[in-house]
Amino acid sequence: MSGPTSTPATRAIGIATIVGLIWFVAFGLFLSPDDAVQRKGVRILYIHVPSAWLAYLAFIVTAVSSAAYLWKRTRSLTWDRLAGASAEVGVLFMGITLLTGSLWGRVSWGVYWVWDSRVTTTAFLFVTYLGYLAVRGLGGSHEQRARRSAVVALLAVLEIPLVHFSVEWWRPLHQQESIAKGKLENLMLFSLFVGVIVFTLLYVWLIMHRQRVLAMQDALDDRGLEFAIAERRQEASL
Amino acid sequence: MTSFAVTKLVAAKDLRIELRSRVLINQVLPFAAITMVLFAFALDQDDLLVRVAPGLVWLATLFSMLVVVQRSFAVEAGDGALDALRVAGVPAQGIFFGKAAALAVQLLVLETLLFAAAFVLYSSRFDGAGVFLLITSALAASCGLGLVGTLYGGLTTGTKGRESLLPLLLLPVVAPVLIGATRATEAALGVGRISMQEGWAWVALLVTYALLFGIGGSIGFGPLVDDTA
Amino acid sequence: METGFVVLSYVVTFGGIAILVAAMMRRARSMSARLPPEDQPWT
Repeated sequence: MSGPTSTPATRAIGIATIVGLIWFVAFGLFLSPDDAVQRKGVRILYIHVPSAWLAYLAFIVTAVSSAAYLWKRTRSLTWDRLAGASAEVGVLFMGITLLTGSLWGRVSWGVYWVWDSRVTTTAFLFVTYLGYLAVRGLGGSHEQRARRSAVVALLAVLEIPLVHFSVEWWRPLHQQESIAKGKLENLMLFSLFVGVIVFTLLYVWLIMHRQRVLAMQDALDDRGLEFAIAERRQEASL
Repeated sequence: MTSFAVTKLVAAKDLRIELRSRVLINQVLPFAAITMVLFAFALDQDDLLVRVAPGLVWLATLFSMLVVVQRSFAVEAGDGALDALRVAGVPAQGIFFGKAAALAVQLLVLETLLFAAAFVLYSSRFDGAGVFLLITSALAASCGLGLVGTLYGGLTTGTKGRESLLPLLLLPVVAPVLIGATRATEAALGVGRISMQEGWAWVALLVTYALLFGIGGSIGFGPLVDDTA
Repeated sequence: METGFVVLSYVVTFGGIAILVAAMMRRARSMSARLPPEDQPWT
């Protein structure tokens, strides 16, 4: 797993992550007991719930990094790249959340989708950050990209509570749905807790690498002209 | 020149351009009308149409808004007018509120005609008791739409195929307006099991939305349209 | 039957992550080869 973006820090986190993931899968798929009500379906929740938490964490990091970039005293493209890397991982985790949620719904209620407030808002968040990533791809200088996407990220922070509130008002979570999620036993709470830890390690590992890849991408873009000129000169001297 | 004076000038300019070119009337309105007709083809049941008419009117408004927003910035792009204004030191806030106001006015005209179309095409009924709610909710919704439309329109204007990004960015943002305006309209028209009181609560949401994006947009619009590094 | 859905969710989740990580590492290698060390300050 070692690569050009690895450092002792990422290797340490990477090893911890892999060990954690092995334990997580072993426990989630085999060692943990079936739920009294949901039987095997609860195992999907072990992925679904931590994944949702991490997606939210990732988007918060994006928002904070965006603010850090916009504030003159801490302006640095590293914040911009961190925002981008975190948003990408956030979209990944949000996709996993939606997918596992859908499968869990199929197992528990027989339907792949419900129009309740939680599911709807999650899908909305997913699309919103896809839009953020699209804005990052609009081109221009690194600083233009950084400023543009930072503003978009902060506008997302503004719009998400509005959407959450209006959707919640539109389709309040019904009583029977919260009961259907069941009471969680201690062992399952423990599994979810461990899942959150393992996924957080994975998140940190991913953004450390991804942020460095983005830095290399920016450096390549900056060097692009230099390289082209150097290649031209080489051709000319032959 | 104060921001407020700039706002009035920009709004008047945009509306004057619209009055002379009549793009809204000649192009957007027929598009919205066709959309309303297509809804009827797709949904195929007359009693269902009455029930969902409020939602359809606001959906048609949102889709048409995409065209109106792009038009609002296309009139600037031709001569680089927006950049010229910014370079001349015109406050971005003034431009933002001016264009948002013009956009809101155009949307209100559109909505009025769409509601009239709904009464004709979908046999919506109206008993007068909800007229105040109807007008207030349309005003609040249009203000919100004008503000976010100008904000994201400014972001996606320009070269290299940015305009295709406008729907992806704008439609999720206006979801609360769609929800709120539709519910308030349902209450005003007496459709569905929603009380007038609840309708007014939704209007409160629409006003909050407009306020928040008015503030957020006035701060964010400048950085978004200034393409200098 | 439920087991199928459970296994599917684990396979898609971790398989998907693994594929994306592999793609990212490959890209990192090719970019790193083209860049001088001062552009990679973490090493």
